[in-house]
Amino acid sequence: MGLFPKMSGTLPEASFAAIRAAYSRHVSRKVLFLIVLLCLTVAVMVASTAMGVAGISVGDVGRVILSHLGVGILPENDLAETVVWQIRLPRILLATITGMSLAGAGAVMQGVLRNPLVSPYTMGLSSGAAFGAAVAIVLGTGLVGGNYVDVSRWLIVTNAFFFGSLTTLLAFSLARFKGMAPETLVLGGVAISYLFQAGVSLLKYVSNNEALKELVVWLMGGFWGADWQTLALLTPVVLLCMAGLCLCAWDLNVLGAGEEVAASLGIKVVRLRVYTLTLATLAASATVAFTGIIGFVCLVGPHICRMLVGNDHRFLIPCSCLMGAVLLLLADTLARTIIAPTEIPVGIITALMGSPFFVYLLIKKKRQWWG
Amino acid sequence: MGRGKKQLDWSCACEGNGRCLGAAFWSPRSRSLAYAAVRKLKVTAKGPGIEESVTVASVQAPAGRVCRGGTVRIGAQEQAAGALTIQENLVGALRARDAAGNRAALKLAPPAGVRLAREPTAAVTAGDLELGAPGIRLEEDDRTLLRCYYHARRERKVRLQVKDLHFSYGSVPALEGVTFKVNAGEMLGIVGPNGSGKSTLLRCLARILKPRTGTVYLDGRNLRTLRGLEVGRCLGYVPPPGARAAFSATVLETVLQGRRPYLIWGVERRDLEVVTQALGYLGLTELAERLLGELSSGQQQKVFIARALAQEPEVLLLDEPTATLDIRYQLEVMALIRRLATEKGRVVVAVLHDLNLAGRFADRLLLLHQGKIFAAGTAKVVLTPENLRAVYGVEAVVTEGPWGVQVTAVAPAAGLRAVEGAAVCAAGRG
Amino acid sequence: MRKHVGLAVLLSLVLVVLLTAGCASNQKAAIPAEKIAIMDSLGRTVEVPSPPQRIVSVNSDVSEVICALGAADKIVGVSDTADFPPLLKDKAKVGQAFTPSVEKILELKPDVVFGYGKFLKSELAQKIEAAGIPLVYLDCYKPATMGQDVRTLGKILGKEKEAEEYAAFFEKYLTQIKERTKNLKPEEKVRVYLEGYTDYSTVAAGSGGAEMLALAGGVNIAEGEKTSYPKVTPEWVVAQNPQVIIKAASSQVSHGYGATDEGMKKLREQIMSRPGWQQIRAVKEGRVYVISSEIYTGPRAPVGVAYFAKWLYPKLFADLDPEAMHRELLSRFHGLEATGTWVYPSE
Repeated sequence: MGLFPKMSGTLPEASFAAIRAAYSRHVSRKVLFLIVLLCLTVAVMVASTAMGVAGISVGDVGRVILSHLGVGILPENDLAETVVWQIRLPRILLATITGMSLAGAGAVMQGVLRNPLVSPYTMGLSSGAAFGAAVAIVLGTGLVGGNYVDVSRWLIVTNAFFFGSLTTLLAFSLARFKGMAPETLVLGGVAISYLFQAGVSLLKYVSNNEALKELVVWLMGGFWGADWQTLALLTPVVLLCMAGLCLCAWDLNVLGAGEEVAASLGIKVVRLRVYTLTLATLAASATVAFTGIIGFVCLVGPHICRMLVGNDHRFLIPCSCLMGAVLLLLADTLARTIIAPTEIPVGIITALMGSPFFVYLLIKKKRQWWG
Repeated sequence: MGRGKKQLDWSCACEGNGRCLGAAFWSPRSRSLAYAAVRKLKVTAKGPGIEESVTVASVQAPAGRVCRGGTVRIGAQEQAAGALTIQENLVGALRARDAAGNRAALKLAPPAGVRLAREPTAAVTAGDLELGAPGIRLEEDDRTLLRCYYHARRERKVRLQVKDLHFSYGSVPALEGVTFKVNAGEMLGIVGPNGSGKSTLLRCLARILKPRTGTVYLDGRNLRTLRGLEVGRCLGYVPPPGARAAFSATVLETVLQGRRPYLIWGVERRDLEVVTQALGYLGLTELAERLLGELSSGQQQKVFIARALAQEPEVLLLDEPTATLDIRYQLEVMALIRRLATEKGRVVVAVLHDLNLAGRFADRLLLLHQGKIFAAGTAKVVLTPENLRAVYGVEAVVTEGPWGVQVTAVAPAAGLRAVEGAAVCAAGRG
Repeated sequence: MRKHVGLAVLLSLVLVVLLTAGCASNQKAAIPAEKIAIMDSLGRTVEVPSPPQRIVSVNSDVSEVICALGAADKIVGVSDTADFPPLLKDKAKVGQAFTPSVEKILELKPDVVFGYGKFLKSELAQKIEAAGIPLVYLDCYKPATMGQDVRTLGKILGKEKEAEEYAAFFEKYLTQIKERTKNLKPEEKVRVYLEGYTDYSTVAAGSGGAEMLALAGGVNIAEGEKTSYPKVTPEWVVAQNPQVIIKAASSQVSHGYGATDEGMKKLREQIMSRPGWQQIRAVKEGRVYVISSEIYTGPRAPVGVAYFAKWLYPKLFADLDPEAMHRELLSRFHGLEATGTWVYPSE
């Protein structure tokens, strides 16, 4: 028995039509933007595959890709095959997946913690992962080199993932006492961050030159380790996490009304927080373990999307994922082609690229996208 | 006579179950819906100079499943649908005077089978009725026809029952042994000084806080047994004004949030229907695409109420709904939620800080003092100078006027530190 | 939104057009000779074609030795920072030593890639090897293993004779220095403060500088420190009161091949005028020396060691002429004139 009777008669038909039109406008704009962004992502991916230091013609690039898909034959230039399939393509796909994971996690965390300045790194993920990598690089290497190069690499990855997740877990435990309040989560994360940062600095100090160089390079972030094995591991994790987060889109929308209203609407706020933060951290942690700490994308990607698509999480989360992928892809392609063959660390490019664009949007767009 | 005749549109409040409950008045100017819940009844006037009951107005809905409109019989004349001229006014009502200027009591003569639960004190919604019967003039009063009829129609049924609620913030007790009942169609006002536990009580009802002991029953069912989104279908909570959202949203998006208990992923037609009606009910249809942050606080408050309405809840809980509103919005919002209670037997519980509004609009009041119920009952019973002295610590003058119980605080109670200005004012009045 | 779509499409088209305009290099790899198995600095056994026709060396020190052995023409790619000998500046660049561009390396189609010992990002190393190119780690900058590295390199390049000559050249000097300082009594040994490229960053066990100092028979005042590159305080140095102070000049100061002594002179003055350092014996006696990084570590480190020995024990090594040694090295193995400043002051 509803509060309002079923519509009949003349009364609100006109307004119903108006509301329905308003809603369709609301939705169709966002869907269109999503599609455009998807096309843009694909276009950038394709373009990036054809760009690089080794001058490989577009035709060869196309032939390599098609031949691996089962169509056509390889070009005679076998350099093309190695470069495109073994080096460029995994790198591009890794950049896409990383961008998706970071920006998607960032959007969700901002919504759940109701704080526009939050990113996956806020709860200590970056310091924890840095600490893990430092431990692996500074203390773990020096055992054997050579044949065990592979082991040391997985050592770094697992360490970074473990410590990155550990910091988040610690922040969770701290916040539990305060009913998972957002402020406690953020502050707890910051406090733990500082602790692990100190650890990283200490390890940097006692390390020898080679370890130090390796650690510094790792910390700057980059897609050195892109290969099909990594992708096979990361892609399902990230995609599943993002899908899981998209399922909570409506709850996140409602959470924007305030915790009390959300609770009275029947949403279990604490459970929602734990669920979303776990998935977001899992995805971000997994990618950070492989790529190092690439900043900026996770904070600004979602905000750019908010300005263009609004706060409806049903569209915001997928858009952020795609926007992050595009940003990171562009940054990576620039990073490895601008002063080839020297590669600029990706994090620098993302900051240089994104910051002015962000400022431009802030100035131009009148719609306030917070409060 | 009549001050400006306006055409009224009609629509039917039929539930589609074959039993037409009556006609609804739709006033184009105030964009509000007023339901007459009874199928057929007459308003008669009786008094000096009038020999027999004169039918002043009656509402008759045609038989049949689908009601498309009705007619109003005034006097002996039956006027066709759409021709009733009533000047709308939410807070007006009518009294009758005969030609000599004597008050004529307006008596309701319900049709057979409809029992009057209490004697109605006054009559019809708003304005002047054009009368067929000579010599009868209707004036304004402020009770609504609706309520009387509604009381006539239904039996008093307890819907919300709170038993022995205890709640503490940490070790500080906030609520102790709170027990009360709310009937269907009633608006309960919770009043009390700051810190007496009003908001806490409301939040316990809204399942935001978990009480230490005690149970809340809705239609006999323990609220705690409600699972997940069921809570949202039963309880509509409107937060106190003043909280800022972290991220902005449009009015449409905000009201859609209220549909969460019914949504899975996509927004269905039914959802949009409810949203339209909620917006229309509150007069917000034009503002649907505006950003919430751009609206005045009065309009924002209405949006939040619309959101709660979109949940189609059984119980509506409002925390200080009129706290930051100007007097016009105060009246609008209070009359609105009053009407929400009477229609369909909903329960409305509102925390009110303004005693005059409480006295005017609430059916029953709950006076809280330091987490315990100090007094409960109608406004006349609760808002007495003794109670106010004991709870608020003020000397107050309580008057009963055409607009219900009015409280004027005169001075702090003896034994308390005097406030200079107040003493002077009191002395000035003599 | 429509115009954004259009923009993206336009951008992609422009990119496509630009790329088709570029030409793909299609060099054929030369047929390598038979393969030999060698052991590199990390103890790995690697099969390398010998002699290789196309070499990429991200290790600048290895590049220098390859030039010294006369195989400079086989080098097709070097790291960004390779600048000695000067002919390397014309070679194709493959990026930084730690993180070279794998694409570029592959494009150059080398037969072998030389890298630093632990100084190449492991993922990139994996990629190079996965492409079928052998990766050889040769340090060529540690004095202790220098001879062995040079000989290995000679074996790979098929220039054993030249390698032997090169190794013998500096081994002769090193053994001479070792012999003479072997019999020094502990109290005769000179105490030295050796400062690296950063201020107050000294060297200890595990670093190249400390090794050089030990070879030259000096006593490092920072010997007992736990880390290889400890950071010390000025007061500590004053308290230790070393007899000689040696500073390694980083690339911020102009030095080395083709440079004047202006930069190094200023550096020396700056060190000597550090607050409180006038009390240090080394400063009082003017035994403060600045040495260029070119002869501090790397293939020419033996020259540096010679300079150390001369500065520490001038009487013992009165007949040792590091400058002449350096000049001979440059002219004989690189065909270059010794124009430049490598130490200051150079008596």
